[in-house]
Amino acid sequence: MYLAVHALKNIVRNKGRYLFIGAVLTVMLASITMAAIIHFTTTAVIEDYADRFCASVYFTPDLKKLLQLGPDENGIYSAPAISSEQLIVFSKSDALKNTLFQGSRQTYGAQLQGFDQGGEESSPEIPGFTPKEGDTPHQTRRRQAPNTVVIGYSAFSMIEEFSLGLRELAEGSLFDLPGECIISRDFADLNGLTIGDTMTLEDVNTETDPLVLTVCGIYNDITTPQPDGSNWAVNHRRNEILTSFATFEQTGMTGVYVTAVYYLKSPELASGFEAYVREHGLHDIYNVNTDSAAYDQIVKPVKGLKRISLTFLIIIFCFGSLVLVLLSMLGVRERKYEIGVLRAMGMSKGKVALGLLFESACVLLLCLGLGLGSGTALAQPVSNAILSEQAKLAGESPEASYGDILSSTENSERPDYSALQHIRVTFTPEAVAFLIVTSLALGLLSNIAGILCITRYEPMKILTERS
Amino acid sequence: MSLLHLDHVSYTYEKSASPVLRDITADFEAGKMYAVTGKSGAGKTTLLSLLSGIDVCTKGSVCYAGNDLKKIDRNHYRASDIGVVFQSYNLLLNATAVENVVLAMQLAKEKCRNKKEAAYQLLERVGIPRETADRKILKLSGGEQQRTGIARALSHHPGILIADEPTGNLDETTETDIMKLLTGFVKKERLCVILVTHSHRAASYADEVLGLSAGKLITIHIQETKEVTA
Repeated sequence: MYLAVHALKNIVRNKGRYLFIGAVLTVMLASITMAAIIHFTTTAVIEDYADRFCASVYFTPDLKKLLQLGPDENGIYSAPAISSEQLIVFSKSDALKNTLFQGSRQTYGAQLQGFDQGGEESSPEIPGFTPKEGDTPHQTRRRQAPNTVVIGYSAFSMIEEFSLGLRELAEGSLFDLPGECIISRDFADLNGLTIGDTMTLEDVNTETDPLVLTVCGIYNDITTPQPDGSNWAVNHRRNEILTSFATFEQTGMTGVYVTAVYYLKSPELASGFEAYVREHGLHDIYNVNTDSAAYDQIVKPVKGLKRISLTFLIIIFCFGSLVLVLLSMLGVRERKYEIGVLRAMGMSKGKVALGLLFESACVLLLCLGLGLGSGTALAQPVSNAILSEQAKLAGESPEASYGDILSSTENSERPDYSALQHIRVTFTPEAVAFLIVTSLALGLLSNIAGILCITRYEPMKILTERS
Repeated sequence: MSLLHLDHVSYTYEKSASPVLRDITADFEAGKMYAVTGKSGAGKTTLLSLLSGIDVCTKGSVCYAGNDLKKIDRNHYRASDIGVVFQSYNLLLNATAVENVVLAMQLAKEKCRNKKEAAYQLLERVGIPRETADRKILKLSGGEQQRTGIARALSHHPGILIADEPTGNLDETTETDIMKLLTGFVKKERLCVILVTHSHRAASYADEVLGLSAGKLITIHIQETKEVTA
């Protein structure tokens, strides 16, 4: 306790020295605070934009390459299909943050009645569906027109109709486990289905085991029943049976038409992902596109600001550490007489060091408060000034042109593409943690230098230096 | 009964070939004042540093109450068992006289409820009034600083007081005052005082006068018997 009291008194006794050290420390900590706040805010902004953009990836056939490839036997230019299995394999890439899958399968439920069922028989494009004598079970199924379509989603949020308010769960719950499904109220009423009923649905195109789905929810549906005006049951929106993509994964992907939207962890990982998909069989004819150009356009000035703040942070930290170490060593050198006296009085080196540490800790704490306050106050205007300068340097007009950026059909949360010219810098938990660690590091660094110096001053010197 | 015993003590500085102290054997008893005299460079300060546990001998042993200083915590020994008065006072210059004394008491873990009051009383005993005790060391005269140094050295009731030229910077009157003060402590509190001094006047107060020459410690004069042995 007396060591702490002695240390506090020493701060007052040596106020001249400590005022100087405190001023240097405050300026340093204010600069570090300012730079750290800007750095961590810009990092968060960049990450946020990366999240919002998610840098969705899509594969588009290259027209020139397609023309070089030539038409197929039917005289049609068409790109080789990407199989469902390939699309799933692509999703295993480490560069991806998330993949959204949607699968659909046309099915026939023998016990079910679909809206517009039978309408296909009047359609000239479809051969006769009437089962013939001697048909195998599969041939029999093939002669049945599908009366339902099962659609599987890897995330419920993918079903736009629910977010748009065109569909609303009226009864039961959303599908969760594989094998659970939700159906429209009209379809349920037409077939007398209630929650808990099961449906057996057979694939009309492939020889696969039938899907057995349990109704877990019923929704009201006000979507246009036949958006394309046809009278086919598979196109009738009320005949849709919605389930999780996991249902398909569990029962097998045969006959399932899959689409996938890939979201990169960061737009910078686009080339890595392309290398991965090429390695896993994506045909050369496909281009791998991302919307990273728009992302870059928006965040480029922020990246510049981040780079400047980081450089500033490193310089201040290194230079400041050096200054602090020197100040500490000079301080201890100046106080060698006092240290020698204390040692001659019987104070151990450890206690002397502890006293000096306590003095430094008190000054550091005070300076940390002042530095944090002033650094926080300065961060916003400095950030605005640098950011606007960066925007000018980037030569970007506020309204970006992005004609060359292909739109991502799946990215509904399209942000404003204007280059960022203002960010609100605030304390992030990372910045607080960084500042605490930095202050401790600076404090320790300067004190260790001082403490090492102490060992040089033995009390014997006091006795011999009689002047 | 010997309080401090030097047993064949020799000391050689690291970069020196010949020892500065050679095979010294001596005893220092409670209730006596000893004066160590000698020419400059004779090794008086070295002897003092060994007695005060600031340094250790290269040969032999220095024992306090039967314990070899090499084997005990010398920080504790310096803080609690002995008091040292330095020639150049060696007080904490930015602190007041009373703060210097209180810090010494705290270091010695003195079991005293009101250390500050005890420090004031001790300072008054050595001739420093309260108003002077609250002044910073730099604002005190040489004599006042020396008295503060003595008060600090005695603050934790040590068995031995080691003083390096305690009157070296003082005028005759102050020297007499200081020596009377020390003599008082020797008689009343059975303190063992070891002075290192050039002053014959200061040495005349000692019960034994020892001379340091060519690394050897010899008894020059014993007060009571007036016998000169060297």
